[in-house]
Amino acid sequence: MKTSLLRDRRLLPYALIAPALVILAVFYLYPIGYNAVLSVFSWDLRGPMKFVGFGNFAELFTDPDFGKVIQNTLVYMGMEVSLVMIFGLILALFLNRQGWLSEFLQGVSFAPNVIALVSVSLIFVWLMDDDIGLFNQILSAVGLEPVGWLSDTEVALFSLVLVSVWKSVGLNALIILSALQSIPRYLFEAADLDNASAWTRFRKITIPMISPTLFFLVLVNVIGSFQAFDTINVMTQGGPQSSTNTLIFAVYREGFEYYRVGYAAAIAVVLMVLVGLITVLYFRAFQKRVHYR
Amino acid sequence: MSQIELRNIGKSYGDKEIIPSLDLTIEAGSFSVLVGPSGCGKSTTLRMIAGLEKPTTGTISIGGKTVDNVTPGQRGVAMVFQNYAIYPTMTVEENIEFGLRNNKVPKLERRELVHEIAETVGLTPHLRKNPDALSGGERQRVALARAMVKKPAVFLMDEPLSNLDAKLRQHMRIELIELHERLGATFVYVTHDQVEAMSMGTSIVLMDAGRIQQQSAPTELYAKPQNVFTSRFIGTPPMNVVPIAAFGADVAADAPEGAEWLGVRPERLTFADTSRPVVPGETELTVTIIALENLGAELVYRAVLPDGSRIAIKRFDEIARPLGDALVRVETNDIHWFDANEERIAEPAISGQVREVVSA
Ligand SMILES: Nc1ncnc2c1ncn2[C@@H]1O[C@H](COP(=O)(O)OP(=O)(O)O)[C@@H](O)[C@H]1O
Ligand SMILES: [Mg+2]
Repeated sequence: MKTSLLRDRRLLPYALIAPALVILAVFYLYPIGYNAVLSVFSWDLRGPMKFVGFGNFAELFTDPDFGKVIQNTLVYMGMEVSLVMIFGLILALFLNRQGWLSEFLQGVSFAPNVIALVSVSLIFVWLMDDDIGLFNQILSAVGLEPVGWLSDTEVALFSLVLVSVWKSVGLNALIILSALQSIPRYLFEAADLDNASAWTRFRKITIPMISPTLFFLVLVNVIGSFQAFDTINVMTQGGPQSSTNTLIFAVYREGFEYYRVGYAAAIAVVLMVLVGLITVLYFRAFQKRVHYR
Repeated sequence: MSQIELRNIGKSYGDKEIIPSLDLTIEAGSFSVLVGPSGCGKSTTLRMIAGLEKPTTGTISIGGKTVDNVTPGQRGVAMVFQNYAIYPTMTVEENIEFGLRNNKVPKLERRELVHEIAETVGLTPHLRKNPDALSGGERQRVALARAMVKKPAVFLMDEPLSNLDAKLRQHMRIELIELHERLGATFVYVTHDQVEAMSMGTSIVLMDAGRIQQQSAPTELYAKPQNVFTSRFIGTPPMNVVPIAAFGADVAADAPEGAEWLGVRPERLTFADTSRPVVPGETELTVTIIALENLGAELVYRAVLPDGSRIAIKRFDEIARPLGDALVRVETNDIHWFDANEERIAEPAISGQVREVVSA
């Protein structure tokens, strides 16, 4: 009965969060579960589903290209997260200074974030074109060899990282900036009186004080890097020679281009396990070193 | 030990002038207290001595050396902040050790110094704790230890006790006085609390609106206030300052050349003992008591003079008087005279007349 449910002190909280739980179950838990189920079937979206047990996984792990896909995914993550964090921090430190230039740049930093990633990707395809692209024109103007931004297997993944970093570094910088600005000034004054050098101040006060923000941003960026799709789809289609093929793109390609739904689901399971594993390891390794106020 | 000198120090924020021009000498080894109402520029002055704030004009020297271009960490000063400014991401031990580390003190020596100081201020059991696990009093000790461990020639303290409860504050006052005696360093102590200033300082610098109103020892500050502001700032309740005519024509006639105001401390007014005649050098006047505050040990009466001026009378009597008219006596010796600029007029010669003021 409605009234008795609402009166019952123990049940009331559950009643109140029920709508959120229902949404969570329908849109998150059910798809995850269904994906896990799909991963042990063979299915082409139209015909009958055929149970294959761990056949998809067996195929996956014997596929010589799959190791390369995982490697691409991890390399992309490593480069993307470290560049975003390093440049985000540097930009934030610069924006934290007084003056019209940093105020102006605060506004500019946010701009890439309001452009759709697909549009950004299209613009960069054009900028990174081997022959008519602006990047190579500049390189040849200053007398340097042109670079196969999207055609060189050694470079393409990095080019994708570059686009992603360009797009998200501003927002990351602004979040770090707000953390920097919440450090009380008197801590730096006390450090000045303690004869701390600029480097010591940065290492012993700035970084520890913004560590919760950094910890959070790294996690968000790691998870975000696993989901990088638009850039790959628009700019390289996983090529050249699978050099930019990542787990998420492989899921899409196997599932929606080759209609190997079960196989794609198996890749998705691997992706999920990998993200979960990295997240857990990350918490284990760093949470103790984060200073929460 | 280091003497601190401020010469022609001015400080403005934008076009807001906080301190017009300050000349101040703080004796080596003194416990000097900067006191004054909130916003008068005490912290600004202290922070300029520390090097956290750059004076707009003038020059500062510490121990005979000009420090205008010396960073705070190189001035040989340590500071205790009002909110303690403890590094929240370091343990107690790391907090205390930080300054030594930056001064490249070798590790073994550092350990020894930190443990020695921790023992002195009673922090030994807390050395490995995070600051947020400490009570207010313990944090205060960390701030103090962090300053002491550097063995500075000058201690700067900005209202270090204002965040403690009354009892602990009382206790820490005594500890700081003892600490000063033990270390023999120069202490510059900022407070807005005149009781704290009077009870701790060997030298008091009373400021108002960025200007020094008076610098002297506590007893002198109380006995010879240089102006009306000073006379009213020190003492509870503050000195009664009224126009010279308020105490009657005879007192007015006796006022020194140029006197416009007279001041009498509330505790220097006595209720007339009518069995004893008024003696030379004494004046009797009728006042109307309109209110009474009973503070336990003392009674503070609020009264109105014949001309309408309000005064306070502080007595240590056992029994409170009823409201209404009362005869009050004051010794001419106890009257302070101030001119039209509210500046003190040098001690007048005392005439030995008996005066009686009859209220209208
Ligand atoms: N950074 C600042 N910018 C502008 N005004 C300031 C600044 N710091 C202090 N002031 C002003 O200077 C005056 C004196 O401040 P302060 O020295 O802190 O007073 P107090 O005597 O209470 O310690 C105040 O009016 C305060 O508002
Ligand atoms: Mg202050």
